[in-house]
Amino acid sequence: MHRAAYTDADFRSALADETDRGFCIGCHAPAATSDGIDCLGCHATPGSHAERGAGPVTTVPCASCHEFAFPHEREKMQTTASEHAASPYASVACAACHMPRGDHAFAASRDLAALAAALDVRAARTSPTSIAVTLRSRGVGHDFPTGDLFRRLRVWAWAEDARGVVVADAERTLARDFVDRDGGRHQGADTRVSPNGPSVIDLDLGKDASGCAVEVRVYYERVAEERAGRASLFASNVIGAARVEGSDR
Amino acid sequence: MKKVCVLAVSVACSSAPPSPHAKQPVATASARVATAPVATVSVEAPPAPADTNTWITRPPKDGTLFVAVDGLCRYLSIFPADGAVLFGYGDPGHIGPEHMRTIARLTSDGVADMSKGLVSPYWGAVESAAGRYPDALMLVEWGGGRTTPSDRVWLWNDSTSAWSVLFANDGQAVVGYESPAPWRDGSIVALARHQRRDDQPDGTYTTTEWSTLASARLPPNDRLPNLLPKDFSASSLLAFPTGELYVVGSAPPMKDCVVRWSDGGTVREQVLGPLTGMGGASVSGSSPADVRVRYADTVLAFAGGRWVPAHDAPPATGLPANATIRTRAGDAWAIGAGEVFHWKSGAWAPVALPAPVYSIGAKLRADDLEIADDGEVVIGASYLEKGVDWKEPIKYRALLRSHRPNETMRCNEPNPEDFTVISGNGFQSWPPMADASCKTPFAVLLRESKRATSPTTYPRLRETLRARPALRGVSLVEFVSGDRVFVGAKATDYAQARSIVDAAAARLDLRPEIVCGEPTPRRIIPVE
Repeated sequence: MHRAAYTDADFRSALADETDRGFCIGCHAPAATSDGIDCLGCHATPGSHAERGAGPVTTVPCASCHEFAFPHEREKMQTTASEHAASPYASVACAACHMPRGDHAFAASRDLAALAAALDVRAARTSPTSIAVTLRSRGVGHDFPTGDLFRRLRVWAWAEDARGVVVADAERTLARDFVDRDGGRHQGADTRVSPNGPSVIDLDLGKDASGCAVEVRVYYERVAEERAGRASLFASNVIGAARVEGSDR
Repeated sequence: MKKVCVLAVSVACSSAPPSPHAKQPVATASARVATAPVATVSVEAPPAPADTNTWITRPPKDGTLFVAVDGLCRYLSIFPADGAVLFGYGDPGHIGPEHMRTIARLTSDGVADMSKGLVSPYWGAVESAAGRYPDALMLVEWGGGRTTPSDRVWLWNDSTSAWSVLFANDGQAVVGYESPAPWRDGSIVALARHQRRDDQPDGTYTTTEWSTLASARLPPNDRLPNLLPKDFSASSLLAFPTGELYVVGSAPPMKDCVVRWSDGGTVREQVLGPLTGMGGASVSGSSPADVRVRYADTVLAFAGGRWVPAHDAPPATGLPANATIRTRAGDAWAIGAGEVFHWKSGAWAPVALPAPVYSIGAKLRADDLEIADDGEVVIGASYLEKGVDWKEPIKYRALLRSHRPNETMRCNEPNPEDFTVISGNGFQSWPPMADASCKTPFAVLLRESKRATSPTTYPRLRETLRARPALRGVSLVEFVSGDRVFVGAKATDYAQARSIVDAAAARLDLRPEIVCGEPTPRRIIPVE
């Protein structure tokens, strides 16, 4: 995955939108002679070898590209190292999960099986028209999702009547929310699933859904661009599901 | 006359050439019935989609509102402008080898695709239409990357039927454009937003923002008058071909004020302000005699040289909470809680929504409302479609109008392998959904990828159907609709169509539909 960090089609299209492309290339192709992240990109990170000799490698080789601010700003564009430090896994190295047995494939946002295994999804009826969806990350040492500022979970629930016709739905996205101000982006709410406890999402499907069975899907979405609720997606994949059976109205 | 809150002037004039990457979109709205000969199993490469089927599925006569467009119209939005109602659908921001978004215009009896020119790299979301159709019609597009937002303005050329960039983000000082409008002498004027960042020794920065006027199409040797003061931050502009120009904005520390120029800029006056209780002040109007300023919860109309409270809309009494009201020439409509209302005899009367055309039983909900210049009511609506044997519903969107169209068009299919990611573009003719009364049921099973380059006889699908003895006499039919190739099977009745769909969906990941119509085939491939 690191090897394709510069040649990946999604990255290339996102790069085309940027005015300060050197800012992005600094991590996606740090060596002028490489079309991606080569060995030195991680293994020559200052301090990494010292850390390795002293004990478990934590976030040091990773943080320079997974925790950084917007250009010329203090506002953080990515915060994975901070999230890790605040998690119950703060003493566990990134590599322990993302490089099992030294595997350099880096199972992460492109690995559907790993994403599905990382999230527990449960749903229960809280009233004739509403449900509560509980999302709990499993063995994740950072917020979920982490990384790119536009990455998000989308929780979608729909109610079906006895004929199988969909009569209502409700949706919520869990993400870092950014607003445009002073010519740049600034973070507002952060609704991602924390490693420190579950997220409970209350969804009211309205009167048409009263007593109907409700299906729930959780999508992991890599977003190309987002504004005012309209998102262009690089990928949207179901990583969790639940069902709430119908009840007497 | 009050003194204007102006000190000095900074002017930016820019125009950009069309994108060098422009390419022709696929035109589909004027499709005609296929004439391709019927063929048996073929080993030749299938021809590119060209001859497409036409069904003329027309909405029923009865009712107040009619479905103009229906189906997979991702992010359908309405963009009213003078002389036209535009609408669009498609992924905002997607960059790829295909044209991913559609802009169209409602015509008297249908829709006209106006997407030509809006191609990759076109990376934004259309925010609004502006100006006047056909000679000064514009789109304001928001784009930008992860680090910097930016806007562009596109201008429609009716003689070439294509868009080109009028005001482009220069990637440096100008970070966006707002409120483009036709102005004097056929010119177009817009607000250009500038930004400068000064890094500080402690690692922080300060941002300075200001606005200038950008113009295009001004006569040769003419100049844009120096109208805006230094450090003026504008939020809204209104201009008229007669030369009047209004801007809402402020020059710190002043609060917002409304400034008017006339006679080509020779007369400048602050006509309102400073305004209090600011909440995104804006200026709008259809003529110099009809200028309105909105700020916070206040709407003022400028008439006879003075501002008076404007009472545009009937009261919201009787409407659902957070209802949207639109008025034009004394006619008033509203939407709320998914329903539509019309102001009649001093009260809001509910208006029945039509049934969606390409659904097996869902109900429409109204999402957006606009009233066109000619009084036509246009409504964006949506529903959740879960067809026979679908595993999940899909949010379909529809455009309703108060003139009955000749045909309800369907938004084109996205590429099957990119279904969750990419929208189709353009429109296709499509048959209505079948029920038990249909005499010509047809099971649509597969959508062929545009990337498919080698011919196939669909061995997995044929094997799946062959496994049911009752379906061994069925033939697969390959046909073209819009810019996609579909594969399905003609059935003797609805029950057999359902059997075909059930058999196929039990083993394959499909999104089948049972339609009422007989497509003209491109190829016929026996299952046996």
